Amino acid sequence: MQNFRYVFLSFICLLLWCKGVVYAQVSQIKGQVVDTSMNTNLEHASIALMHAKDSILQASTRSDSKGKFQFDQVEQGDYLLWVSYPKYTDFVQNLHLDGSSESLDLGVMHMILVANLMHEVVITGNHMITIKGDTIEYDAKQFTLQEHAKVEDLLAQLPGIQVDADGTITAQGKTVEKVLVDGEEFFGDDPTLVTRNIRGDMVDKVQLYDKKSDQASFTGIDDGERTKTINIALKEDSKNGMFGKLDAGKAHNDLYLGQAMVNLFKGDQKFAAYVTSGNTNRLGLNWRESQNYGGGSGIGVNDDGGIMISLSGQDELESFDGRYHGDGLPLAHNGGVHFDSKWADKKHSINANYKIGSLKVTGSSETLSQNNLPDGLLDSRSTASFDNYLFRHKADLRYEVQLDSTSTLRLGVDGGTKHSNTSSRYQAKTFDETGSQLNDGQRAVDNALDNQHFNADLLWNKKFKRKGRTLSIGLRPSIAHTQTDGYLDAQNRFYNASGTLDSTALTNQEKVQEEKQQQINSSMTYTEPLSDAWSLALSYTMGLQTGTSKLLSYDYDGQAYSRLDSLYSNDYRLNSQHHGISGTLRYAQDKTNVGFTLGWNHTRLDQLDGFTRDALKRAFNDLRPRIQFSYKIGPQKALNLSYNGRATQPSLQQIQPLRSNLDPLNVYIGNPDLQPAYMHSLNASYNSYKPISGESLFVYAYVNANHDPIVQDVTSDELGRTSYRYVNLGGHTPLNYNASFSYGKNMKALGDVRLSLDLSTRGNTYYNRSNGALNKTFTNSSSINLRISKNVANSYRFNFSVGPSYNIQEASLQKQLSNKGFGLRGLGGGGIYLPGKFEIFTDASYLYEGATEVFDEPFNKFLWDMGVRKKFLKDASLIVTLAAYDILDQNTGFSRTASYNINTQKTYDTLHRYLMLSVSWDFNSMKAKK
Amino acid sequence: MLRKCHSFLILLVLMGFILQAQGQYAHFIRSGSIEYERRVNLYALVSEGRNMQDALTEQFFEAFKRSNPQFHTSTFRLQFTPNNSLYEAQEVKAMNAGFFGQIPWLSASQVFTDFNTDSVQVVREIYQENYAYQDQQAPIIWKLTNETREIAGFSCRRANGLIQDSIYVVAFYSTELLPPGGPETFSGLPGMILGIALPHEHVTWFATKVEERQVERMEAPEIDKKTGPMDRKTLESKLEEQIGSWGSRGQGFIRATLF
Repeated sequence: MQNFRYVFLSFICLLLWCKGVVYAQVSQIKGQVVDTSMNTNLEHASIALMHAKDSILQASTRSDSKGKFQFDQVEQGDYLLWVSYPKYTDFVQNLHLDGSSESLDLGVMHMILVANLMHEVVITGNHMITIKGDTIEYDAKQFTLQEHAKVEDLLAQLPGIQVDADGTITAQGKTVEKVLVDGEEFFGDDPTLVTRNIRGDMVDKVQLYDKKSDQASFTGIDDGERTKTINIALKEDSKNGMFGKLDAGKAHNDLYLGQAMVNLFKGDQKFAAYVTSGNTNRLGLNWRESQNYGGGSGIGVNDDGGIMISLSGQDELESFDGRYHGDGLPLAHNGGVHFDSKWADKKHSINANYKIGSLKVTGSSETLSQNNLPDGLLDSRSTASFDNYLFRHKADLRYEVQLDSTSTLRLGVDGGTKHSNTSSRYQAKTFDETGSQLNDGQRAVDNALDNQHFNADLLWNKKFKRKGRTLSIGLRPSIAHTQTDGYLDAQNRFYNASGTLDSTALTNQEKVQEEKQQQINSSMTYTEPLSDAWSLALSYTMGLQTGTSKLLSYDYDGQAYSRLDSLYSNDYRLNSQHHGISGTLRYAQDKTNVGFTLGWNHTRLDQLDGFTRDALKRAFNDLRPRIQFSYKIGPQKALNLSYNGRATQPSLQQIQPLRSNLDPLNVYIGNPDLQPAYMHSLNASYNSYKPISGESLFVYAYVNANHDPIVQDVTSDELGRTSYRYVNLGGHTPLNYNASFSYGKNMKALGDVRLSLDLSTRGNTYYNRSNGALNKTFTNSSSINLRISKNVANSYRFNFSVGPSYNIQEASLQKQLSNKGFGLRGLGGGGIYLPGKFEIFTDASYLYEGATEVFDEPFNKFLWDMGVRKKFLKDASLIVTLAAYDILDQNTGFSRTASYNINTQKTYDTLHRYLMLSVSWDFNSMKAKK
Repeated sequence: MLRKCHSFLILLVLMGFILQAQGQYAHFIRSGSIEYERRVNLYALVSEGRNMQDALTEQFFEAFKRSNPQFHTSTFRLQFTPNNSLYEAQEVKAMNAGFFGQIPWLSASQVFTDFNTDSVQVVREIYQENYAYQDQQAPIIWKLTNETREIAGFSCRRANGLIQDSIYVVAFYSTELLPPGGPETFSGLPGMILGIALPHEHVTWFATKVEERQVERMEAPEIDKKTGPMDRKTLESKLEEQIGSWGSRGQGFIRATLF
């Protein structure tokens, strides 16, 4: 800001007439500071000795009680001596020391009192200026500037602003007290020490206003104090250009992968497009990519900096990591375009997306399950194969407008259509505990489905003058329509105890189903600050839903599906209404944050079966208390505790299930007398992280207890058929819990590797009824895991983790067949960077599950990938990778689960061993950051 | 901001002779305490060096701006005598920028300065860890200017400087306070530093209150017994080892710990 050197020199010239230049040859300088007019010695006068060349401070001292001062051992050179005393004008003298004399006595230095403070020179600007509210804004673009022009040069051009030769800025006749750059005070650089490159062409606009005093901005009470202030708003990094990625790979077999993504920027407009295709597990964009290329559906950032993931917006063709996680072998094609734009000072914004994609999955699986009964068990083995295809497209549009400085309106609409064909073939056999066969069967299920859906979302937010007082109102209508045309062809044979055929059940039906649903949800939230620490939030929600579901089953009569089977047909109409109110009282002060919430929900259901005229009316009330406490011990150290209580309502399927003959071995029966259960949850966590030494500690625990639970009542007959019904079980409390502990530290002594230790235990106690008897299931899985890792940039990296686990699955009905065993998990990976931008990398994982009473074979899986990649181009943006996946060919899908009294083990098809060559290129034509 | 004008000065000097103005002794403060307010520009520190082309980073930055003020303010107290001074954090709010991780210049400090030996003992708490050193005052190249500004009722002069040949510093000092000290480890000007700005680091310290009073004997901060007294160089190499690989953010932390 200030060309202070110039100022300083002129200042010196001005004062030199007081005393002539003294040439001396000394290494000691002394003198005396005196007010000659009053003949008094001035004590504590500040005397600074500076280099004449650059005014760098060499030494400073104070005068003693007689006004005397002295500098010893001063080296040769040219100096400035600067004497100052409060309320006196400064005294400056040039000195030249050539070292030929020992001492220089400057004698008496006369100081002159400043009697009158000067008033400011008032220069009135006579240019036309446009005033916007209390701010004058200049658009920097409208002023021509030479290349590398400084901010001062720009300011000097602006009408109403003068910049003096000494750097003083005057605006509208008043001296500008403060110059801010993007809100931060600008002090100006000393070009001989450092330079900050704020060039005129980096400036977006210059705002001139009267800044209220800090007190006034803080309290909101205007004390009338004003400071003339200039704020220089810099341009945001200019967003013009594009970036994106191309990626293609081909395996030795028929596996392939191709992706192309591009992002184009032009100022406040952005256009993006992507295409992905492949039959490896890659489905489409991952969440990070979808932010840049796909309009960011499903992921948002809240004001606390947390990420909100709404999976409701995701469908079968989208997943968090962009990979397919289901059974079988997928072939996926995905594409989309995105456009967003902001205008009118970013007060309006629009965001539009269109997505199209298809997914074909084929596969087969084998399932072994054991059903523990009070007096025996059922062992069933089944195989399934499927061939599914899905095609969908969808579009969404979001418009946001800042109505004024306190309110915003958001309108969103989205809709789409979906078509799918699914085809499954099942074969199953059931045996009893002696190994004799009870039944076998086969089924073929084929469905063609069409769906259309449309949703809208309107949200209005208002902030009131009082800080913390807000109102928000939202409205969300939606409609959906689904039509399914399906075929069921099933044959089941049942055998009696002697092993002879008891009966055969044959079904061959066409099933035509149509579902329509309309709903509207609304919500209103009001927050009110009660004091500095206390605040209250009140909200009301209401939802209305009407729907119809019509299923018609037709038997095959030898020529056509024409005979209606009214037993397995239905025509439901459902109306439901929901009202909820909730209040939260919050206390937030310093490190403590406590919230008490009480919510009440009322739901009314009204269902009618048009075929049977069966009516079902239910009303539920639900009280939801919540207490949450958090204590922030440090910036990255906090303790959190919370309690939640809520009713678990029985579902319609539990009260009155749709009668279905899809799986005659497993039949569901309704229970209209079901009452809500009540769930209590307790959560506690403590975390601490020291980022600089890398020490972290994380402890987490929760327990859920279910009061008056809704449990399954399973009845199996001697032919191996199982029926399911839900009942309330008083007097027993199912629990589930999870506790984990994790500690990590960078170990200096071990060559700076990072070491972390994880301990965890989780499990549950559940109850159910099995053929009338009470069954208690106990499961627990405890594990220890040790992980070490190290990353040396551009040299090597590795990570390795291993740990045993002990798993228990126990059912009280069949104690001798408990499922107890050790497991082991290992994970490792690493890479070495070689000269010539080569890198060798490998990843491996190992899983072992021991044999148990139920599953007599241990399970082993060792997956090992290895590859080499080379980077090309100056910025290493082109990467060629050759990698072998699952080298040992051991990748089989595998899972073991226990639910109630049924233990299940499933193996299914997944991708296995392949060698792939791929090329990827990241391109970026955006201007590099300044 | 310089308000003086040459012609006025000439006039004043002449007036000084003509009017035989009355001489007067100024009052100098030898000991007392000063409250400083530190302001850290969070927006600038958070956005520097981040890739704002990335849609998620941009979203995080917008959310950060909505839920955090631009400046993080803390208060410190400096007690001083002609021989030494003790600078201590009074109120430093914990702060974590979530996605953007840790922000330098938010440390709580304790600095003991001995004006006779020009030595300092420094303890800085940075994200729950204490970093301490004991050394001679870091050399600061000061260039005096005659720009003035009033801070906490005192007329201060501006000096520009370079700490350790790398950090540009703008200081405002008053000769009416005798000890050549200041907040943190800033010192070496012919008066007390009442305002400091590190414009390129986006942090300032300005005095809000100056109180003249007797100061009891001050205790130097306790240096961690385990690490023992460490000099600045040793601490620097320790920090380089720990966070040198963080890139520019790590270097920012190292500057904010060693200054």
